[in-house]
Amino acid sequence: MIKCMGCMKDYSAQKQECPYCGYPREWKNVSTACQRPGTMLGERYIVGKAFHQDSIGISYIGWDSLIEKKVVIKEYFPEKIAFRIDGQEIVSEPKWEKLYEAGKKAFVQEIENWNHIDHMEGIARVYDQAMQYGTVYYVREYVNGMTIRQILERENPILFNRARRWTRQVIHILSQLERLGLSHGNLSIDNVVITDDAIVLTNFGVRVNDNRARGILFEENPYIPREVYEETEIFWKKADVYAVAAMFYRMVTGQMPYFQSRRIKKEKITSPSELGIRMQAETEKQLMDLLNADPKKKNVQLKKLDQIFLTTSQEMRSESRKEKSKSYFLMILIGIEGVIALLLAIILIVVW
Amino acid sequence: MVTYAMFSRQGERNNNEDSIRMKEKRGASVFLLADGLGGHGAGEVASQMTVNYGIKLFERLDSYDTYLKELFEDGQRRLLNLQRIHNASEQMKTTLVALLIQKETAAWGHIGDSRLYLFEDGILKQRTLDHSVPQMLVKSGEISEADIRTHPDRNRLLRVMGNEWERETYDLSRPIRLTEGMSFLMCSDGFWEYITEEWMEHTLRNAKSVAHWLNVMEKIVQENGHGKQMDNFSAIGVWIR
Repeated sequence: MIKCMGCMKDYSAQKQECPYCGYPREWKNVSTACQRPGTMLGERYIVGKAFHQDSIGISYIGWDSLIEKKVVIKEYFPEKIAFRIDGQEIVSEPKWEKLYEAGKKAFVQEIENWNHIDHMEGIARVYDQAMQYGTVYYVREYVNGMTIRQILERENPILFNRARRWTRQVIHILSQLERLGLSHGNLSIDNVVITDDAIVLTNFGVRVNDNRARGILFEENPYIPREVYEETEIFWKKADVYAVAAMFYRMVTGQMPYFQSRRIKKEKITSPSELGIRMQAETEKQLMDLLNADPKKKNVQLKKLDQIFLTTSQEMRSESRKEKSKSYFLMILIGIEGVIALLLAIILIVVW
Repeated sequence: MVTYAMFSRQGERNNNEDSIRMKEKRGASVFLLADGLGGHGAGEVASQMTVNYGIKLFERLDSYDTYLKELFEDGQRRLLNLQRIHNASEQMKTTLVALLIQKETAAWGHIGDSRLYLFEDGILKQRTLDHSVPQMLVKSGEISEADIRTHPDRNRLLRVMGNEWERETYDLSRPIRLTEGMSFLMCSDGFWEYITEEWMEHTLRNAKSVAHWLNVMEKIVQENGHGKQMDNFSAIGVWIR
């Protein structure tokens, strides 16, 4: 039996590809930027297929051979300034050395922060780290579910009430993190996983307190406006709020709020109603105020954000009550007309 | 800019044998829609397997020159193999329609009676021809296009994935250059059965976004099909703006 590097299930060595996920036994066309599937990490973990890459690093399916469980291994690999030779990660040019090290240090610090969160619902638990091959890795639990992106690849847009429910759950998790002095910092539709009964956030951001480093290394999340990256102070307070609003917009309209790969400063965003998407007028106004605002001037708290979606729920319920009253009235009217028609028919028969 | 919307509904059946998926990778996108045939859930397996394979193939390739051909031919081989494993050669079949969009071009392929429509500036320019008995009758002049929807042999398909082929039986389009104002609609027969091409054009011309367009058309389909033991119905809309 051999282990599939795509899904970590075991299958017969006679087969050329995994019967469960179709991942080929021989790995051709593996990107040179990624670690080769089958690479060992710290004599405990097997690094499998790379399934996601962002500006901070690469996420791999992995296997914890000690507890025999599927895991996710995240590798610090700032693609703009790093590359790999023979499995070793190297800075692309000497002028980037300082930035690379600043990012790595922040990555390690962030692992420490998240490592201390034990048994918090809604967060994929980070439980180990390693320094190897010239870079840093962390190991987190594998979450069985679909990311919002994967769901949008099957249904787009998402039904309003479902999007609203998921958004409120994300806000709830962020509020708990806020109480611990933490924020996610890298929210996007790739980093929110929907399981059978819960929402789990993965792939947190990295708290680099150097604006230039942050701009060069990490300015790639299209759910966070560029100007939010310009100042450390506002970034960590507001990045999550903006990302949540942008993700909600994406889910209910079916498209990104920004036409470019990320928002250009002062770019006006088309409202959902201009796209033919019905929404409570007040909700839309608040959502658009947030998405169009200059984050340096506008102060929005998570609590206020939650109110936007809570209010929507109550107004829609009272609207549906109005609709129900209308239909009951119509039914009664039809019933009365029916009775009158029957009486008339009886009278006519009697008279005849 | 490419925007898309998609949905798949069960209709008034016990399960949904339609499958839809899309994937975007480095400026290229693929959209897949399959309508499974065969009882006892076999259709669902066939359509899901075919669509999932199409996505995996797209993810694996670096260049897409032969993607559509490989999708239909390898997809067919895999489906026949699956039939053999499950001893289900009379079941486990599916239609398939696939749209591949690259930076400046689009191309598509289809087999069965799931359709692709191409509109330009709100006017229908072309649609795929069904591999069905009624479509053959239209070709021979015995009935008109409008009669297809109500023809008693409407569900008799001449070509699907999962039937043995002696030669290529799927159709591939030539690549076309993308222009602003183009719109694509891919749909299963459960959808196009209840909305005419005139209504597709009319709603397209009045739509504010592709999601709006699909939403309005879905309401029309639901209204027209309600109480008629509606089949599963699915649609994918893609706008180039």
